[in-house]
Amino acid sequence: MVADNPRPGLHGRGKVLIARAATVLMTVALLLGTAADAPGDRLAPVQWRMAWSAPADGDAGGMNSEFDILLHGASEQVLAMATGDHSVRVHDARTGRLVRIQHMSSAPVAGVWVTSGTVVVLTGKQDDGEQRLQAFDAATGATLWRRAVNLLSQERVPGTGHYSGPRVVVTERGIVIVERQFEPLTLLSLDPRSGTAGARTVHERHCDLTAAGARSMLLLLDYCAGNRMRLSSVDPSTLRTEWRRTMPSPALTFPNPRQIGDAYSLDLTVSGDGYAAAGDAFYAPDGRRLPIPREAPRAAGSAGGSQWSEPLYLNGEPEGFDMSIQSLPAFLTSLDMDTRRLRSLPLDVPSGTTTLVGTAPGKAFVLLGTGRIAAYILTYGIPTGRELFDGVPLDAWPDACGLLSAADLRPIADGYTPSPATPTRFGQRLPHPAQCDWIPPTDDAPVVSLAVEWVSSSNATARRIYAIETTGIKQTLAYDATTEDPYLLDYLRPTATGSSGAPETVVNAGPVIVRLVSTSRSALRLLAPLVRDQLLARYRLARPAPTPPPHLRWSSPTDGHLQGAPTVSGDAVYAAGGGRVYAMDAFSGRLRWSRAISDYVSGPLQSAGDLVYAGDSRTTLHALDTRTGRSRWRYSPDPSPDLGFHFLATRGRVILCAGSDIIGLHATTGRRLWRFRTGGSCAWSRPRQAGGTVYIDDYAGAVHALDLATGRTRWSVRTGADERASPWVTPAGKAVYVAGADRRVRALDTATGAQRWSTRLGAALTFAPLPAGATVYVRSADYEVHALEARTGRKRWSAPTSVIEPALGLTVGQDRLYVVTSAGIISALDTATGAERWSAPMGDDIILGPVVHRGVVYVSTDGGVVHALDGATGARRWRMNTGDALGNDAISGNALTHANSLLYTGGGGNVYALHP
Amino acid sequence: MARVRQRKKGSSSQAKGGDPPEPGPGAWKAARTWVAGVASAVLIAAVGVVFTAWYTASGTDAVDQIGGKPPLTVGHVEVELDERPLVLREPVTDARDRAILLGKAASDTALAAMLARHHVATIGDMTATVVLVGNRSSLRIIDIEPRVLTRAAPSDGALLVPGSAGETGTVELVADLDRRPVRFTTKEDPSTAYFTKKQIDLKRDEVVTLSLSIVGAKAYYEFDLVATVLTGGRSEEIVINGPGGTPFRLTGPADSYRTEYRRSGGGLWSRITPDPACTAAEKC
Repeated sequence: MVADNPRPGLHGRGKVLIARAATVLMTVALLLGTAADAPGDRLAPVQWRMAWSAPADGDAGGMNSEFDILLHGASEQVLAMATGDHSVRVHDARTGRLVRIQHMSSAPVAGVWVTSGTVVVLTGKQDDGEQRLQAFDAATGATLWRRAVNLLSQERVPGTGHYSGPRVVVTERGIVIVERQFEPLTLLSLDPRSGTAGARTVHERHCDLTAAGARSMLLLLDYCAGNRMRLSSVDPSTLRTEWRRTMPSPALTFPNPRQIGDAYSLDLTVSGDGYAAAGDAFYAPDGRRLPIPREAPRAAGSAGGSQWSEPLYLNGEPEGFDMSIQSLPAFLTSLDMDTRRLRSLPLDVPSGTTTLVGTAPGKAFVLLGTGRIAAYILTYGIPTGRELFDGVPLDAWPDACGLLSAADLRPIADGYTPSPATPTRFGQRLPHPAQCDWIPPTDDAPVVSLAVEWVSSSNATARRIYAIETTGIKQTLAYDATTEDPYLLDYLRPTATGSSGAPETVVNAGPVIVRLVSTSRSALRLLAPLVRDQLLARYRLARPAPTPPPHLRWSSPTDGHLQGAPTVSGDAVYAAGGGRVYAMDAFSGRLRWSRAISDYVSGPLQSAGDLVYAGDSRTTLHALDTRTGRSRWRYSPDPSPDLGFHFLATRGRVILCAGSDIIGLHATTGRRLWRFRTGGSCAWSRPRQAGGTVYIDDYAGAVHALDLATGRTRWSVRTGADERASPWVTPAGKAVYVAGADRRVRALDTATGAQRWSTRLGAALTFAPLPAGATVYVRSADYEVHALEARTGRKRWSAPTSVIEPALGLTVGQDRLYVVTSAGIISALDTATGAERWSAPMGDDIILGPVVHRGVVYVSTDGGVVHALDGATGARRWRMNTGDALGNDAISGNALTHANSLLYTGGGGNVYALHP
Repeated sequence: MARVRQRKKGSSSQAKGGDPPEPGPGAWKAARTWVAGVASAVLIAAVGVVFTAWYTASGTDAVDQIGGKPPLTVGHVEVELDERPLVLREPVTDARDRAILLGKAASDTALAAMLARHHVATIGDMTATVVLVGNRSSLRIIDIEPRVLTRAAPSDGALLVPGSAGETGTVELVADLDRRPVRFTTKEDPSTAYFTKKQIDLKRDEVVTLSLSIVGAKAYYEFDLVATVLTGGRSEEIVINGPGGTPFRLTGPADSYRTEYRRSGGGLWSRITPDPACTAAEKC
């Protein structure tokens, strides 16, 4: 019939040719179409492609550290995630679609697994004594079974075998529970479909043990007395050993032969399809030792095989490469059965906060630091040798030394020279160095180190990596909110001691991500924008227009976290950060000088006369010249106090509280003039001065009034001596108000120490009394704020609050008492009645303030945001982010200081001057 | 000639058919030859068995001994320098060495080589980790002691202070270079040499990891370790050098240092410049 109705213009032979050509084309198209998804003879894995991502419960995290169990389970069909609100979210693993939210009991979810269409959930905490294991059908949500289990928490017994793996392992063939952490190590098997108990075994004594589960098998790795190490496969249903391999014994150590019971690290990782990495060796699911040398990875450009195991590792670098330069992306590593090598491929997310939470054939599920979970699909293609580089040609990596020039660094010092790193990465030689140090001509100037951390296959991929990286930084670290732009973020990397921070800047423009490191944040402020602009020009992208916050007068960086509030004295601001003391112009922020003191300077600083005073971690008091920063004198108390010291610089004296000694120093020379020994430590005391008398409390509950000039005792009064706590002392006028742990507020005569009045309240007093006019305001540990008559001590009113954070003070202004009444809420109370006039939610926990100036109330909230509110109405006037994500800048007391018609504060390692 | 010939004949006959020798005057000779052959074979087999047994027991030892292979091989030597304050003999002034010290681009190997060039030493104490491999079927390490090669004034060229102080582990075996004789003792009994009471027995290919602590505060010391090994009834001394074949180095603290660097969290060293007038005096 077809032959009878030929198309116009086509002959029979032509039709055949066309049909053949079409067939060939379709075949080719089909082959190409499937090539991306299925392995063929010449095809090999070339990329992990993100298929979907979905929100994950960031609070839940990826791991239950109590039981060493993942809070996510995955199979080819289902991904199940624990949430922080005691439920489990079930997603379609192929599409990411949320299938259902399964609410569990009132106990928190402690572990989630998916096996054979069943979701298994562990609930409960270790401290609660009993936990519950339950299973529901992944498709319908119907509960299949539930039972109580007991995962005992035990104290370690020296010399006994110890279990260090997950307390529950779920496989298709059985669920295995390790009931005890110490001998006898008992393993119990449950049927995954019914939850009924099956076999129970006790592991050999005098063995340290760990375990790991694959989809259908359980592996045990033990290290037993006699220096024996073994890897065993155990049937999860019968707990019978299926195979056992003796591993090379750890080397004997001398003079400390290793004993069972010592903390020995048993390192066992198992892929979903049963390939194991134990120590330095790899094993197939049938127990064969695989000749895969961990220390000899393939070269990045070598041809790869097509048979890969499911991923074993998610690391910040390809497994097996010694990386002196950290790469930004995460890498998934599998075993290549054809080439007998470890094989890694990069993901399009940074490694810092990623966790591999599940695998299935050809799939990997990764928890991202941004609170999302992503599903990756392994795609196949013809390897080019650039898979570790995300397919990017090596000559696309820019020359790290070419991103800056000596002229760029000239404002810091003349004569910087570049020092490039060997241009190799992943075993391949790059055309240009990916890392470059700029070495200063002298050691006084800072080194600047620049590393090209990644070049993505597209601008969009680089943007995603950068966005996740910077989101994580801003959530957890101190950063510079005033210089941040879409391409650049300056922040402080935590140091090992945690008391300081290391300045770094991450830059992204086009497909390139660069990180700069220096000891000087000022240097990074100068140079990072130059690197950014050069990359923007290279990729023909527009430069961002600077948009400084409207209330910012200036911000000036320090080289570490601020220690204490900035101190304003005349036209100078002094701050301590990163072990240095900084002096800045109060009106421009220009750095006048900085001086290294120690690895830690305990703020706040104090300034008096032409000296600024700073205490350091070595419990030494330094006096620096305010004009030059040069050290004029220093003083170390003897004996050195265990808890550091507080000091007060006033009226030609510096008063130190060190241990049980109160010491008076000559403010100009540092010479010790007098010493007074208290009955208890005054390490927590903050000396107060009024009228030539210094008032100091001690830990024995006493208050001492000493002559500032001579140290002569004017009087000493014991208050609540049996309470073993320092009272709070505030001198004002003719009275010294003392609030103590004995629940009493006292007014003492400043001249004699005689008690004028004493008022008992309902709980210990938790903050220094605030005298204001005829009233004294105090806070007590039962969350109450009290107003007492200053002359008699009679209580005028009390008002309830729900916070007692000591750093949150009381402030009075314009007939209002400003107080943080509950987390994140500031309130104005009528000073006469205590009635609330207004309250304002700040949206986050208030961590500093309140401070009042000219009718404006200032507070700082968690995350480093300064809020300005109208003192009369509570209406918000403005807010500004200081970039102190977690309150890293250890500011005690009010860190918001008014002077020179400006508001000074610190955050993210910066000192800020704000227009009120 | 006849004997030779007969042997040839006999051999030929055996070669042809392999039949037993026929009785007769020549047969007796042939029988003797046959018995002698069997006896020789038995003897050779016996010698083989004895040799094999001997070789298995100590032959490889003899071969190793004849070949000059030492009874011990030093598999690995390491001195823990991470997170320890370190001192160099001289300040780092060479441009290339400054780049290695101050930057991040230099490899660990380049940094280690630079530090070695400057005779890097820990202050006051050090722990050497030495891995020894046995090369005899049985041997006993009967003594190890430091041998001081150089004693000089404490190093003061450059002090490198890491950001965080390294932790000192529990020292159970320690040698004090300031005391004579220098030997390892226990912390509890510093007067008794440890190896007079205890030794280390090793078999072939067996590995022992030594964790040896050495202290010294009065001077700059370069030293090596000398292990005395007893094997096959004779003793040998094995010299254990520091990493890279250089001596181990340890220095006492100096009163002051000509340069001082502190490492930041970013891994960069930065020069600390204390006020000269303030370094030693309370008042500046």
